[in-house]
Amino acid sequence: MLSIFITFFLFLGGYVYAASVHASKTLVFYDERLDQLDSFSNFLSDLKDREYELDYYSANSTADIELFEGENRLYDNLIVLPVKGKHINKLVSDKTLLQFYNDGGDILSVTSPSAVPDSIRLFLNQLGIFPSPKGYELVDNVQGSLKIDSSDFRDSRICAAKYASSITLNGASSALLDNREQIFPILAAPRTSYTKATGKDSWSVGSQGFLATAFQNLKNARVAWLGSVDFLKDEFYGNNGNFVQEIAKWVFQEKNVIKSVDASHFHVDGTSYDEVPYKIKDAVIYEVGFSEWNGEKWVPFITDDVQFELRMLDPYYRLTLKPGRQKDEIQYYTTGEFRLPDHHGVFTFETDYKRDGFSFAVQRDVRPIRNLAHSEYARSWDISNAAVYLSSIFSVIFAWVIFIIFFITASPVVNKPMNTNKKNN
Amino acid sequence: MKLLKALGLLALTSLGQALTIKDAHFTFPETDARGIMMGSIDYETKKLNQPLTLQSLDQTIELNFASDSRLTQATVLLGLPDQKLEQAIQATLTEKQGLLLYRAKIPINQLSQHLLHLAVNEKQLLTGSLVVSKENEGFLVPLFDVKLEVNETEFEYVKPKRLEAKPEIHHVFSAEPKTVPWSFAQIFSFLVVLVTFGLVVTWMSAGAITWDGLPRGFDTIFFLAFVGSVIGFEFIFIRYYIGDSIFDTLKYTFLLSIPSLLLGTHFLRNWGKELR
Repeated sequence: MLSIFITFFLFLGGYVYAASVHASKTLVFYDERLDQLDSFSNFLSDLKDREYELDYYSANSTADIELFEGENRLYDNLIVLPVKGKHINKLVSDKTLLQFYNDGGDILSVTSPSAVPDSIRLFLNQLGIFPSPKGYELVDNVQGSLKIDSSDFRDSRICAAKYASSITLNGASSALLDNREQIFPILAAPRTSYTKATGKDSWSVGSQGFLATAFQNLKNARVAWLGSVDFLKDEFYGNNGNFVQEIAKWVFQEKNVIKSVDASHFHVDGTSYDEVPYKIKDAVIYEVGFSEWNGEKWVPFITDDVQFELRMLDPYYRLTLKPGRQKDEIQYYTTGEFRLPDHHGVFTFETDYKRDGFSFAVQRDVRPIRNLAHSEYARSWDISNAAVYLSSIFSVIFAWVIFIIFFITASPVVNKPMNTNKKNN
Repeated sequence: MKLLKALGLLALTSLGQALTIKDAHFTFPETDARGIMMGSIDYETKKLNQPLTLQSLDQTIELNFASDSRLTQATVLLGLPDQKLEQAIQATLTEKQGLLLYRAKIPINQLSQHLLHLAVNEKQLLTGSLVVSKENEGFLVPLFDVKLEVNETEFEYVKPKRLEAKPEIHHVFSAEPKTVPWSFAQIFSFLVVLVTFGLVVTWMSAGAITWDGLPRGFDTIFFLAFVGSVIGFEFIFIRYYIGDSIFDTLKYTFLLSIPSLLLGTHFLRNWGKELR
């Protein structure tokens, strides 16, 4: 009976739909003086449909905002909608945001030309995202209004291009981006646009500015920044809904989440390192498995750019792995047979899979590779140069034995006693 | 109502098309190159037929033009629009005797490294487009191409780090020591063996081998034991060469040396007596 109950609850637990790879407790931080929550109802209800547990905090609230309890993070995700006023800097400082982010929390930040709080801006600045300050607005006098073209979309593998072409915005701010590999630009500003502020120079001109961008740290925590609250508003949700949901799925770890598992290396005959430690020039095989979270379960991750490195300070090998066997939710990739270098030392067997828009998957194993023992070098009979010396040695041995035999068996020189008697005749 | 809307749109369009800038011309400061006059520019202006060709990265292109009214935007976009790669250069405004003069200075060596790499190393033409606008009207028009005829050695491009597959690396093993071909070594080995047999044959043909002194009777056993011990010692040394440890070699040598000494001494003593 107990086993039936356990089975039933396990089944129920597995059936519960949770889209994100981690828990989905989310705090929505908003300012009702700017936008009522009702104006984001479509966006928020889409999140709820995917089992997000949403808490709300209004910037006008007198209660303190708590992101941590002691050292424990209270929320998995944070949505920061445009907030006006300086008191937000006290409520949620850039240091708190950074602490939340470094602890693995994911953040979706939305600013608008009239609401770019300092704490949000400073936090984004530390990631290399520089949104235009308050008062700057992106305008496009050539097209008359902000019209996003498919050419403005940057292929970051976060969002499909088809969702970007229909975007409609009323007002937006743009951001300049640092030249960092962890920043994934998503949507550039139109070529003919520029950011305008009364009495000030432009913040960005043309496509050097960005309307949406993303960042992922080395712990795989994600940040996405949107330059307009119109992305989320019900008013434009028909056009922008798919795009913003794709961004939300990415930033809250519903998509492009991969993991590497079962990294192993062994001799070509299948013998493990523990059984026979590696020596230089040994033929070995390395393989590693990859899985991807598809929003419901782990599935094999199919790609063609997984690379393996064998390093001792610098890489001795960097090999693109070939797809191998597939087992359950794991796709294995293998180097095939390769020979260890002819240098001994402590080497790292490593796959460091870091690609735009995907979570970073790293596998490392440090193993010593020994030099040859004195008895493992090539023997003289394997070396052609030695053949003459060997044949000479054995010839001398042969000749010496033959000489002894011949010497002993040769006709002895017998010194027979001479007849010393005098003749008496 | 629809007609009114259409008329309104037409009026707006014609307003956009009405924006014209004047006296547009290119100059190349600090060089002997002559300027290029373009005259008035509007949204229909065609691009220059020939690219602006520069022989040095230290050159500057200046685009000067005048406008009757103050522009909200006057920008040159230089780059490769097809590759979504453009750099914006904003024009500066000078008011001179009631005229609004705009000047966009493009110092080539201050362009982005990636653009310079594509223009210098990959010989791609950079396209310059002019964006001008006033409130609610403006246009973008491709105006010119830039060709950089610069020696590749003058510009070194360091590609920024990106999350992408890197070039493969294969370890280059140290070269194996050079050895003679086996066939060559075998010829010399054969010669050595031939000489040895020649020596034996010479001994035989010289009458040195008679077998007259072959021990007889009980001495044959001691003779065979003596020769066997000599061969045995050689065998132990060969085994050492093949891989036996020095300790095994010493052990077997010691074991063989006992009968070898006893039997050898006995044989040699008898043999010596016989010789006397």
